[in-house]
Amino acid sequence: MNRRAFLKTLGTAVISSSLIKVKDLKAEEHKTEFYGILVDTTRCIGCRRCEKACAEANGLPIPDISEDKNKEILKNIRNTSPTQYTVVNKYETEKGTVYVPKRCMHCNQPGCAAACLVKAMRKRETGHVTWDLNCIGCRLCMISCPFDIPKFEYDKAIPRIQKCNLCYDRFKKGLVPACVEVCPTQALTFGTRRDILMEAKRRISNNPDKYISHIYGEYEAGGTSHIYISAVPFEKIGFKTNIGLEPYPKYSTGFLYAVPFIFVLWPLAMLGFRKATRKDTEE
Amino acid sequence: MKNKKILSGLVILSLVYVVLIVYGLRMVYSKPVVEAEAIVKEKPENLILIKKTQLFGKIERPGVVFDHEKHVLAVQKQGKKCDVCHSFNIYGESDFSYPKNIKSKDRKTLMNGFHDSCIGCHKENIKADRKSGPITCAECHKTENEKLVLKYPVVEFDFYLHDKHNKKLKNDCSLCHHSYDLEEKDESLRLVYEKGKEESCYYCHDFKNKELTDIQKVSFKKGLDIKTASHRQCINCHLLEKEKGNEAGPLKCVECHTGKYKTIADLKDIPRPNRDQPQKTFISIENATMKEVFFDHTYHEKNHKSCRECHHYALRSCSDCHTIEGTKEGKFINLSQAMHSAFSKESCVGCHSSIANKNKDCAGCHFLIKPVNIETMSPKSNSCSKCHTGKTEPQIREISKPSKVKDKIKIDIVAKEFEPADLPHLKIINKLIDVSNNSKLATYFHRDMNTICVGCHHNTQKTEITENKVPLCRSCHYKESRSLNKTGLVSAYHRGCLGCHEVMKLEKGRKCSECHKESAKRPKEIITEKNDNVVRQNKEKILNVWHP
Repeated sequence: MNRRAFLKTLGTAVISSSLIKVKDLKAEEHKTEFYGILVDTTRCIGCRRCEKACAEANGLPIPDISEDKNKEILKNIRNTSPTQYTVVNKYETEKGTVYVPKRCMHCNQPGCAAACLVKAMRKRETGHVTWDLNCIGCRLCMISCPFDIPKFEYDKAIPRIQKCNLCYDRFKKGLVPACVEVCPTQALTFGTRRDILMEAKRRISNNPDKYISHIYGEYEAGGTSHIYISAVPFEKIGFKTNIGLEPYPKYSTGFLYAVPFIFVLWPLAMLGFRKATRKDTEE
Repeated sequence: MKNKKILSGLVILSLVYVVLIVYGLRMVYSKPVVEAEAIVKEKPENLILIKKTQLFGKIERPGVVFDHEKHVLAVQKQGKKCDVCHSFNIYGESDFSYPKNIKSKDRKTLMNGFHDSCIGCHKENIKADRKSGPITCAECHKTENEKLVLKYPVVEFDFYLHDKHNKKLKNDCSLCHHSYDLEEKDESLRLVYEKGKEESCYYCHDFKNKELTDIQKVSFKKGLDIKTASHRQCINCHLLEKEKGNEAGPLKCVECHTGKYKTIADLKDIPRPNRDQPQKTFISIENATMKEVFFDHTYHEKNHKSCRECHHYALRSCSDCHTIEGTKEGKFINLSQAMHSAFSKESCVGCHSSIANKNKDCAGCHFLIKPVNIETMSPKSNSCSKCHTGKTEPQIREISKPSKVKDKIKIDIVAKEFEPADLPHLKIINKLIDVSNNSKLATYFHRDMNTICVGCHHNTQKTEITENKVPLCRSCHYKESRSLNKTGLVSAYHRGCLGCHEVMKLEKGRKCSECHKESAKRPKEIITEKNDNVVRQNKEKILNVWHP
């Protein structure tokens, strides 16, 4: 090897190594687990205290949760809105009235985060799916969400996407989400996803008469951080049961991975067709 | 040459490309598809839906809704009988299959059979200038019936109907009950009647969720499921009686399929079928380690709607199949499991605990306290001897009302947003004692005051109650606990009180203000750290914090 060749190889090695980002070893050491909330719909009493606490913790308009107002509001099935990250709905079933708190499910592989062009919607290492200010307002996250959760502020001059962030700011300060803290019946319990799944399974196996043997969110849409257990089939209390068990990004990744490949193959394929069809004239 | 090589390479590449595109499109469009829901008609008025999905699979045209009653009247008007459509054997019995005389289950023959006999008859009527039915396709196969499902309510042949038939037939059981002698060589003589061995139709003719027995296999082969078998048995007999001019049972669909069911209270005074069953007996098993159990068979008969609720396989003793070791006939469920399984509906413990969970009065305590601890799959200590009494009939005694307990208790330890709550302690105890004394099952198991206290003060030892040192809620439930398996104090109060009120379906004490009034001043810090970022701008600070 002469001097010139040596310098050449050294130069390319330095340039290419600088391009490859060295993996952060620190993050590897402190592996985090996904956190989530176990919602026991048999325990919820429909007091809407979680809605109020959520509003207080997230700086949203504070709802009136007096008993008369509750009665009136719970008549309708509501959806989350830009000013309500969580809503409690009331369903009449054969096993009596069931109250169901609805909010972002914090999917393990969120469709919204996969769809986001600028990584404004992100899945944190701790399981929280959060939204950031660098959003460009394309609303792809709204389309890609199987649970219809991200909401766009159509009435604002500088609109944002609004949704539950599992109280990421409170979590950083070492506090449980506001809704979990105020729940008077512990219908909501916060913990690592592994622990809440275990607890859900324990409750079901200890009360086979009370619960149906299904944990909503264990496998739905590839698994979610918010998991629900119930006494009645989930389709009867407003849950979508047709969303499948595949994580939503998976429906498009296979196709998207093929795109660069096709970009290379397209000219070649066209060339092939041309060669095949114009054979006589060339010769 | 070189050109050809490049050419073939490129052709292969383009093929790969096409495959990739197809795969990609498939991935994108293979999201779960929601199928349109079936329209279920719960009250079909004598209509029959002819679809035969089991034989035909998916059919090109929607199923035909057939009005049977209309055709019966039309046939009667012409002075004809049922044998216009159904074939009858020499005894005057029919299998009510249609089209008649077609035994083949081939799709084409069956379809032609339907079309020929329906349209044939309609055509004849048109020729004879009578009122007739449709003859073109869409007149019968109506598109609006594509998703229609007709669902007749199941007929319950309860003790009332059984007794009615019994009285009319003067205790002659042989008309309905038969057994099938598998060892008889002449097949026509296999259906026999054995006195004292009458069983339920379901044991041989019901195939749901079961490994088929030898007799069930025979009836399965003959296509005699419970629906076909009971239709044949009932309607044939009713039809013959009617032809003889006697008073006969119902023949129209809706007359049997009423959807109304008798409750246990309605059937209270109706005598149960007599098959020389024991009345009051001791269940004693040879070589068993436990003592005998007293069993009142008559009492249990009166409290069930059907024998099959316990005798799920045959009207025999449990220990015939479920021996101490377990047999193949009993699916290797041994006797102990058969009596004690908490999950089975047929076992003693399973049935008793389901009563405790389902009866609204019992559920008040038992929604939290399991009659049998399922975690360990064993009964709680001291409760074995309640049933296993030996050769003595158990003494049942009612609980007397207590003398020294607090009348009212003020719960103020967690008062924050609301004012302290008053708990009517004595009133609750008296109510629970009344509930327990009114139920035979409850008095059998609750024999002293301790069992009532444990309703709320669960996990209390017996000695603690007698020494008057009952632990309070706050002894175990910590005020701030929000962990997964430890219920906090606020939650314990709410779930204990509200849960009981809800399952007992009490109207009182379901609203917040009924137990505690809202305090005049709302304390500032309801959630641990109140954000002062109520204003929208301040929220940005939080968002910026998240940005690394």
